[in-house]
Amino acid sequence: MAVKKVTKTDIPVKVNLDTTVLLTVTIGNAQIGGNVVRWKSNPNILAKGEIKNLNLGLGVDIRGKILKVTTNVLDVNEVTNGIVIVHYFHNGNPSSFTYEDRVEKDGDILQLVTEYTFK
Amino acid sequence: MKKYAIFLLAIVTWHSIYAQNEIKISELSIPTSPGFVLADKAPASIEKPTTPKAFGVSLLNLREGGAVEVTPYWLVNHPAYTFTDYFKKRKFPVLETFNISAATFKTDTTSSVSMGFRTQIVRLYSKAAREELEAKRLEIVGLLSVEDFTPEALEAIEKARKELSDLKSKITFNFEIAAAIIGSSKNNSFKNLQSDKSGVWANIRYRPKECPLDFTALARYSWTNNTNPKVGSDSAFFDYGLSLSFQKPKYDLALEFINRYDFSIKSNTNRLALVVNYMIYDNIVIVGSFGKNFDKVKNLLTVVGVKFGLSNDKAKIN
Repeated sequence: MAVKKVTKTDIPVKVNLDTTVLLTVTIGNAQIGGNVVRWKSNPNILAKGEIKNLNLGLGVDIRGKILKVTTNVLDVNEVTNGIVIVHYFHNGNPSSFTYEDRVEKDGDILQLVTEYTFK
Repeated sequence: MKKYAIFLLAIVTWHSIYAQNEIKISELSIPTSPGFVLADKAPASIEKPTTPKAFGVSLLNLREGGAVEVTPYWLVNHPAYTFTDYFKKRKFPVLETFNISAATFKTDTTSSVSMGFRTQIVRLYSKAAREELEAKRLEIVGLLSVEDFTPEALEAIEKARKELSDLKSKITFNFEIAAAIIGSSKNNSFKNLQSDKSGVWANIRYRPKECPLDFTALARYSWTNNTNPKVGSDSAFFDYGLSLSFQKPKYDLALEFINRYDFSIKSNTNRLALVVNYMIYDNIVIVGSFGKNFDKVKNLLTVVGVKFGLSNDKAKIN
């Protein structure tokens, strides 16, 4: 079992000062994934596991902060080794980030580490 | 052609050696091309519905021929298709299992080619199976929710993945349809290629809870074309039968009985065969069938071959 690591940093997300920003992570291709979400400057974990409508706070409170999202996807689909991850920010602009990749073999893991900067 | 076949075998062998996955026969599915099945070239005449490959190549053996298959749905990514959808919502997976294949094989006098398709109309898990899948899914989500993996964590994930794969293979009810057309050319010229035989069929698989046996029923209508213009009418057949199979991690045993009714001569023949699949290596399966074939004379059935799966993705026999 191999772990393929991919890092994407400094991804800008524009937010309105007066709206709440929510995060949802979707793992496609009938694969299974888990997440760890935290602010980069803070070791405390905001949420882990499946992420659905995670309240990140008001735009005014999170502007300037960097959100670190670690998504690990296990290839459990015997038909394809394709991996597709969608990070969706409700009230963010752009609202969704899709990452597509492949692992080499069945049972391999793709680890995607993303850092979103709220502006 | 021979050189090409040897080259292909070398690629398959190389791939198999270097793509070492610990897998069980229940995870290994190299579905026999519908063209092989229609031509009675497949070791098993009743095929269990299987999860097709996004892209795969299977060779019965180098002398007999080979097949290539593709499942168009999985050639692109599906961001909104979650694992939960797979076992809870996708009860009619027609598109995602729609698989097209082309095969070539030799007869005594000609080389034949075939085109075929197969797709699952219904795929159902029992309530208990769905609950087990959901529990295993949540366990894996928990194991994956870390920033760094320890060797112990990876070991636990691999163990859970295998258990999940086992649960996935325990589909309670499957209904699959398939069709194929076979053509040949007496002088091996593409221009003179003509259709010899066509067929449509359905495989219905049922796996009772706590039962070690799998039941697969077959209903198939096939007809020959252009066989003897002087006689005027072509032959048509209706096959129906049942296969009982018993599966262990390394092998799969199936006993199948099929009755064939020939409409043109209004006569019945049957086939009784024991089909053995034994996995000798990842993506390499020795397959043999022994018994009595449909023909009224020279009907001793002894087919031994090797099925190779050529793909980055895993194959399946269940």
